[in-house]
Amino acid sequence: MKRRKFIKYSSFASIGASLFPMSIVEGLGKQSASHLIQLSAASTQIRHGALNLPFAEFLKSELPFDWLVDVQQNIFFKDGFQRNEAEDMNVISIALKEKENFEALQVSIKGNEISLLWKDQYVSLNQMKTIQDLPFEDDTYTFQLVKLHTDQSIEFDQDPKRSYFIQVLDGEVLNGSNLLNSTNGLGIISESKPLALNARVNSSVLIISRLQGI
Amino acid sequence: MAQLKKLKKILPAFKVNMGGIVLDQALPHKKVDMIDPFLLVHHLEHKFDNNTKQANAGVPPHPHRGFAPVSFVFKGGVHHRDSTNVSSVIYPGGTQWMHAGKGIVHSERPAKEIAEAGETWELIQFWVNAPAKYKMTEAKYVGLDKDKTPTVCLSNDNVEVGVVAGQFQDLKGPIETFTPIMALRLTFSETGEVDIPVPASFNGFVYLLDGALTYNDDTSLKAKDLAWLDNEGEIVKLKATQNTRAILLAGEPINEPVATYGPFVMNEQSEIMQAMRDYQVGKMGKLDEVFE
Repeated sequence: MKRRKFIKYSSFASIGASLFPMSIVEGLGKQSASHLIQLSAASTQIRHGALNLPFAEFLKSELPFDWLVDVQQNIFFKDGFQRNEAEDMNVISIALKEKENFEALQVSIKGNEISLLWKDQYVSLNQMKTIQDLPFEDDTYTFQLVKLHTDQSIEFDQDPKRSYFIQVLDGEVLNGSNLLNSTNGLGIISESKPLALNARVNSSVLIISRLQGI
Repeated sequence: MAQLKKLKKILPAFKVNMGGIVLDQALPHKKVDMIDPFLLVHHLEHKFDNNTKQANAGVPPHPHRGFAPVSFVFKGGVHHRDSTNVSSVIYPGGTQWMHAGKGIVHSERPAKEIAEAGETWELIQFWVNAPAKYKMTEAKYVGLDKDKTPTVCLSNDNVEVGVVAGQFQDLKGPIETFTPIMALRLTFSETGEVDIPVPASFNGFVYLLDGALTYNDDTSLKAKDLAWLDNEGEIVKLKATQNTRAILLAGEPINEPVATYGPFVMNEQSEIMQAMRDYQVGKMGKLDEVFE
């Protein structure tokens, strides 16, 4: 699979919120559009966590693409019954369409360590470059992690043949007038102009892309 | 002469909210995360409102992987359904022993007639870890009724001992386990007493559902106490000062790394993430409950 490195790092110290204004999509299938979605709050799980929320098998109308099936967040208590922010395991599960079914990307954040599982491929990172291509072999999707310090900005060119889903794993970033954090996600279809992210605090961002039309 | 086992600690159970169900949790505890191979002890007692629908009560479908959740039923009845198409109701005195293996989805609801009549159910659920080499084997459920549980009466019939797993006197429990486990159900009338041999290599504890016991003639145990046994010594000596119901669980420690998060118990965090993924894509099966 040929992966295109589409992100370039910018040395801008800050970026104006109005520099790259975003439009909100009115319906699916529109070209050059972005769509901010709200996510359900993370569910906390004690040791006998019921975890009885099934994954949706059908497209949710508020999701920006037909290839993004669902996003769920769970916080598993390390000691089994009470919150410990440094030790608990936060897991974001992102269901992505795979042929007639779906696969579920798992992203775990525990302290400074980010671990990801895609199908049977697992990677764990505790020291990251600003931009990190994830070494997952896949014919359909690409995965990148972006790590930004407070006030750091990044700008990247988008491939007009791909659509992107941007999920903040930790922290807060500005994209135009959109404030992105772990309670929302941004879907982008065929933007022909660069996309910019500006971190308001130390942040980690996951970017998933997929070729359109397959 | 066999030596009496001392106690390491007494852990009083505390209330936790498990998705809207409030119960007493003796393990994990602030002071103790697990007593290898036991990871959890939950004590639930609840009276239903009249005309409660079974579908609206108990714990709905959820997954497990890597260990055995076990329920001792004391009041009412527990209806187990699972993704291997098992539907089983167990009543007081009985046991539901389920090895989750590579994955299973199950629900635990009150028996239909218990819920509708507004009666009470009471159960203890405890978790028994499995060694790594057995965590991904096929799931298996065993429902053991009271009349299939070997039982002996002692101390002028003031003590009844039910043997679910392991050995007590000449009784062998019917449940087969991957590692040596002793699981006993104890019922005392006041003044009943019993000496229970427990190997020094076993980790174990006694948990009281109610009543009061004297341990080794020198330590008082009350309702909802978990008495963690020391390894030194081979005899657990219990004497009731009130009518008492209790359980004794002991087992050979597995001594492997444990990653326990939510409903999964594996050895490493990556395996927990794998369990999440496998559950979400349907590899642990699906449970469509059918209610009468």
